[in-house]
Amino acid sequence: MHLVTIGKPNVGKTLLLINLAAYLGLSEVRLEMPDGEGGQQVKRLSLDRARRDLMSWSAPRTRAIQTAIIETLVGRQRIRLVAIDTPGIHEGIASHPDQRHLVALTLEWLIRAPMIVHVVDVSAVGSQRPEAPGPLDLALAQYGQRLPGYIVVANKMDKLGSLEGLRAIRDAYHEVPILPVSCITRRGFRDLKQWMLHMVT
Amino acid sequence: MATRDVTPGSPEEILHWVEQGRLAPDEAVLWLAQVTKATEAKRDRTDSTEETADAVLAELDRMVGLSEIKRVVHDIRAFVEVQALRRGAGLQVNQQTWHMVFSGAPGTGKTTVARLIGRLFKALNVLPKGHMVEVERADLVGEYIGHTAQKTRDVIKRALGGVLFIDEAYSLARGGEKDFGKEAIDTLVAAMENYREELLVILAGYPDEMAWFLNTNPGLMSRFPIRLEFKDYSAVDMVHIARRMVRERDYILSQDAEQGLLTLLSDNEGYWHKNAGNARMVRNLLEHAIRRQAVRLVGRNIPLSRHDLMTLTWSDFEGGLD
Ligand SMILES: Nc1nc2c(ncn2[C@@H]2O[C@H](COP(=O)(O)OP(=O)(O)OP(=O)(O)O)[C@@H](O)[C@H]2O)c(=O)[nH]1
Ligand SMILES: [Mg+2]
Repeated sequence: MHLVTIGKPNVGKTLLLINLAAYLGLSEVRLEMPDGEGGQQVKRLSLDRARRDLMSWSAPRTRAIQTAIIETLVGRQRIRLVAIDTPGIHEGIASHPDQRHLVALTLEWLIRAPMIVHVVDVSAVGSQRPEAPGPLDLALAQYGQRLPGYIVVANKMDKLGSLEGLRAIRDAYHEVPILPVSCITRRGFRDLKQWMLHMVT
Repeated sequence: MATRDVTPGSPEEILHWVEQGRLAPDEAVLWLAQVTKATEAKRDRTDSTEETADAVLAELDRMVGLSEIKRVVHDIRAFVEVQALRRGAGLQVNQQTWHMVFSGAPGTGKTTVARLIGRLFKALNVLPKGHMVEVERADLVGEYIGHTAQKTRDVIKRALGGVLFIDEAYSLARGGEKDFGKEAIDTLVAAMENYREELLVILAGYPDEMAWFLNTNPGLMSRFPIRLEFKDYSAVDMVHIARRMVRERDYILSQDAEQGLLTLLSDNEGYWHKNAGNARMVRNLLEHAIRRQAVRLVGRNIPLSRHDLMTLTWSDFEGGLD
């Protein structure tokens, strides 16, 4: 079963996947990355290493579509998820063809994946930063409205101003599930896990 | 592509437009929502069974004018169904190819009919998907040797299972023997052989240019056995189209507006205007009239009724052709 994280740049898509993997009891992630020309490269990374290598602190870091296999036992049940981490999408038409290509690939996963985790940075509502929720997020929420496998993760709930942001998002996005989460404090991870299990089974 | 007022019809097309820089991501997502919802609604309506040929043909029949084309498409449907029955009865069947040439001016319904044919062939089990990919020369022809074949193959891959609609197809033969357009044609012809059951190609363009194109490429003649001619709309048809277009936008035409339009369009029918006889002309006229109506209404100081807000009068249209 495929799960895709999608959203604007720097909202925490990659960290969410890594910390979720940890929460589910995994000690490493297996990453499949395009190796430039056509092939796939498979890497095993400890979660600490993954955090360091795959995330951005200031500049956007996810530059290609990354696939992480999450296999775990829940109770007696083995679940296998293929998590797709996509590069953040900026508003507007990108000037570089390669970037537009990445956007198209990301949107292709939006159509294909049965589980869509749309990550928004609620602490950035109203700011001018690239991670601030915008027209793209509104469009995604509209896209997700009728899909059973769509959920909005309102991320960075540990940050100042996130409560107001959460409220604003709840007012603006209609008829979609919105889950407050923090990748730092792990608030909301239990619910996220529940949701995933529900989807898988 | 400012002159091509088309909307994307399939997810494939939307993604392609994103790559081309024709759509911003948020617009693309909204289109995707609409397109995928439409296909789901269709699925829901018939309760997880597919759209029927009757439904598609009914939609075709609701189009204004196009009587000859409607007849041919109904014939095609009959033929396909009888062939299927014959196959079921163990009788010999014709190996029919369905590739088509649509000749006609822009705005005469070619794209809309092509989409319907894709859906019809899906309903009749001739094509597995029935979606449509719409391209023109620039999408097929590259900059250097080998590039064209690659680009054309990519386009074909997107179209597999459905319809490949090549607008202004004659421009592929524009540059003569040395031009890469020839490479595109050759690649296309090869693909038509390889994917017999999975691809329907429609070449479209102005009548004269398409006739010249087929004459200079005799190999194509036999590969595109079905020819549909999209005639310019008559004045009466165009008023009919105008009526539908205003209704979609929550406007109505006053009596004098209908009469005036009919006179304007019959006086000039087919003669002097570059858009004469096509739906684009109607759309331009309407857009002009809608703006003029707004100006007329704000100029008045009395309260406006719903009827006032909806009605386009002849004075809104006058002078709207340039
Ligand atoms: N305070 C706080 N910071 C977070 C949280 N989640 C992510 N971050 C930070 O946000 C920044 C971006 O995180 P990433 O996971 O790289 O974001 P991304 O969405 O994958 O970014 P792109 O790949 O560039 O699109 C990092 O500095 C994270 O530490 C959170 O819940 N709370
Ligand atoms: Mg990332």
